[in-house]
Amino acid sequence: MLEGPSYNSEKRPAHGDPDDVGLTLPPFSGRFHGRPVYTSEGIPLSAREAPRFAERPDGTDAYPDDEKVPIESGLDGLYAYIRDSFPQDEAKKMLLELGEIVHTCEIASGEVVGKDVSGTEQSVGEDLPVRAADFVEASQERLRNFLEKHPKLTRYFKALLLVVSLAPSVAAKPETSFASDREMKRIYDDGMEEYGRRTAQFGVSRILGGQERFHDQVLDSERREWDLTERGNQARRDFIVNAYRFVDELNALENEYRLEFDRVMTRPFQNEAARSSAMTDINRRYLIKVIELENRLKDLSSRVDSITSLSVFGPLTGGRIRQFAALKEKMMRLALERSGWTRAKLEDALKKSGIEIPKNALDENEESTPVETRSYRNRSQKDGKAAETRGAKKEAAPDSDAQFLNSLF
Amino acid sequence: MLISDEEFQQKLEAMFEKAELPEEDRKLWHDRLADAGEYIHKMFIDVFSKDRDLFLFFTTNMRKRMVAGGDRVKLEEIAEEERAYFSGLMKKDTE
Repeated sequence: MLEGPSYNSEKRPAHGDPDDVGLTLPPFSGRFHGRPVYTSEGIPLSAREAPRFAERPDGTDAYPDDEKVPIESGLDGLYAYIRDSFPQDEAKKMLLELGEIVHTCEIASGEVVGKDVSGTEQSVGEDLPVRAADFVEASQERLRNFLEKHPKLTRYFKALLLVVSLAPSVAAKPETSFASDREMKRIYDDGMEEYGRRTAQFGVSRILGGQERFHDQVLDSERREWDLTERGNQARRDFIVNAYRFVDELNALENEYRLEFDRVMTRPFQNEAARSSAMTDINRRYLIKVIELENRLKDLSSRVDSITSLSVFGPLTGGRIRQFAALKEKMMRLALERSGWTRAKLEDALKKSGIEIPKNALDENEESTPVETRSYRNRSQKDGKAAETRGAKKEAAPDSDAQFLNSLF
Repeated sequence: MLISDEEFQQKLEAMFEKAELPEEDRKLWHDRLADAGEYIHKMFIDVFSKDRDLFLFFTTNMRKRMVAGGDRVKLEEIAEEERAYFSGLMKKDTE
């Protein structure tokens, strides 16, 4: 069974009553799960003109002077229509609600990241994919509600977003690695069948949240490097799809490993030496498997700029990459500690298995670990230590194991 | 419920026929939609199949976008047309 981010309909963003998705929702608080949310420029969302398409504090219209007006015709037209066609109070509520939907989609699509008060980007946490899924779900529900209430407003809006997402001029910039919605869809369609329903929902959010960025990219001169972008996207697409698969494979591997380990622990042996030998065999086997898996991932990553660049694809993918790194470290540590191999013996075993020896994989990846995974190192190391403690209690490993390991590296 | 490729192709051809779309525009849409995925396909049919005028407008719009590339002036002209069309659409709806 694959273990992806949970998609719990019980979980909702902290703001708003989940049963009340109508016009009575309060404006977006600028906070998410109690933490302030910042735009990608580091501006607190709560301090942003909210909603920026509504009137300014002095009562003047915020839009006519906005230099982006000419290229934001979709949302701009919709906002203007709402503003001009409904009583002021109702229009204001509608604009607030629509604004919050768009902000939510921006967050869900990775446009907005969490930063601490110093402006340093925070580690988003392994649980962020779950939160992003919550956001998507909530925004979908509210979007659906909104569209049902105002169907005549949506026809043009949807059509415009569709065309913008399909237009060839919305190529992603290699620097920002932002794939067009069309490509995001292809990523999901190709590699994420298991996440089908959520995937489709995420796609809508991408369209909504990404519309402004599509327009920005249209106007970017580097858009002309279409071929380069296409190649870059293909590599990133491969990497992401495979990263997702690798996490699943690693999860499966870990489960398999634990089952085998438990089996050895509970099976009767002639003597403890035989049991110990069986356990060592398992550890060695899985150590090789984990290294092989990591090599496959690294091979793919060498085709893109860097693993860290993938974070722009949004917290969902970023979380997966981090999940892989944390799991991998945990697995390697467990297996290595229990394998009883010297480095030379391990290298020999890897060679015999036809597996390239990762330069730093055996000494905690200090140099090769992507920057974005470092914030998880402490946690994964703690996990490793906890697992080690559990393993020690359960396995009653020879006392010499730890000394032996220390002596290796 | 998404849409199968076969069903999508059938509906797309029916839309082309109904809109009397020239061959070059049909090719344009085929090219753009080839890799879009089932979700976009379904959305495309949902949005355009019941509204010939909207479909024709955005067919022209798409062609112009392709020609415009990154030319800001041309893109602004396209956006101006979009706003005008949208205003007309809303006006028609509220009449």
